[in-house]
Amino acid sequence: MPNVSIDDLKKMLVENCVLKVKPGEITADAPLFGPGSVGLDSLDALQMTVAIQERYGVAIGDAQTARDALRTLNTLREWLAQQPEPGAKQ
Amino acid sequence: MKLEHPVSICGVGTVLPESEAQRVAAVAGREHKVLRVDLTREPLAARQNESRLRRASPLTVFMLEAAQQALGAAGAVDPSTLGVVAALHLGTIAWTHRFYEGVLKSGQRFASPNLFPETVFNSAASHIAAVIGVAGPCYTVVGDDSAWVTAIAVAACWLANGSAEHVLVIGGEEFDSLELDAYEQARWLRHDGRFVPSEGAGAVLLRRARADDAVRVVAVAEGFTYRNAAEARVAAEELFAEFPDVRDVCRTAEHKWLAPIEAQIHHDRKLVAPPPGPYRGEAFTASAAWDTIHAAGHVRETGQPLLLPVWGQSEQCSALLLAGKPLK
Repeated sequence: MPNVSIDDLKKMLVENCVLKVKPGEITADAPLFGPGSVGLDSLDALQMTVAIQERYGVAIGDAQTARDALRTLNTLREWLAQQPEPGAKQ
Repeated sequence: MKLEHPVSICGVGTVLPESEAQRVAAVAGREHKVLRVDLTREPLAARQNESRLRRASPLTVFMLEAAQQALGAAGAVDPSTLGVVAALHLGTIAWTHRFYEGVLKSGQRFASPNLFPETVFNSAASHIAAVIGVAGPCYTVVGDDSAWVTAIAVAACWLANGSAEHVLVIGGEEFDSLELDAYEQARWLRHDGRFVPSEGAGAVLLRRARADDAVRVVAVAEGFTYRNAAEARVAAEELFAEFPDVRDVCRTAEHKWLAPIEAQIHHDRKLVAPPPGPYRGEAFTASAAWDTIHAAGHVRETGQPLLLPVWGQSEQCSALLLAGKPLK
């Protein structure tokens, strides 16, 4: 899934996690969780997992994958890029 | 009815809608006038930046602001002995609408984990308790406008039995266009424009009354239920018969379908007018809170007992009896 833009991910993050910042204020390599981060919590992680599956049709299958993929928007984009297109033959 | 331990109001707070109405379309019906709170104005705008409230519905923001005003007016209040009772009619209807709209659009597999907790009726009270650091009891009463009176009764009970030293009673409502369809069905939105839906919050901080308190809640009357105008009249007659010696009664049903009953039933009593200024619309439990604050001001000025009826739009008529300083 190579064509996911950082801008789309920023917009999805702000809309789904009801953040009080504009998408443009979030940098692609800002940590999403933990001290000094965008400020997401476990509920946001679940929300993002649901939103990614709805939007891109790919499921984050386990907690470790979620932790790795949702470190930053860049890691999320890289993880999505590695996923096959939904319905594509593997 | 009569409270064994009267309570006094030691702080109040309000979040009122803008005085200029907006026109909002029902989901499946016509446009109607609605009075909305402007969330972009301070201090509400700043409240929404509290990290705890990031996902919270407007209702929570309204109610927290009213609660903080009431606490601020009272001075030092120990949160470890503070209780919270929220009174709601519609609850977090806007967020609940959004949640189920998402379920219907995308399927229950994609139900929003972020929105779901905000659909729970006690969510607003829980947020408020968490932000303020309340360690006392926390409860939400759900009903029509009259849930406000039940909430006061719950608070009085906690104060009497020592569960709390102070209790915040908060009424609040948020608006969603979905409401208009229900009001159209109930024929509350007639062409005369008398009933205007609104939103906001009101809070009172209660403690056990002391001898020198200028305003006390001395009696609570609940449970006078009805399903139609004929029953409402009978219920109201029974309610007011409980207070034969009280001459002053607040006029609170002016914009409701219950207005003709109110006009007929109080021919031998003195009606106290609503507060001056623009009409604030009908926000159920929040309106009941605003009326209570107005009534408390009147008692403070006159020293006379005042009966505050809370005419529920759909269920029951209840009342609070407020009084000035006790006679020595």
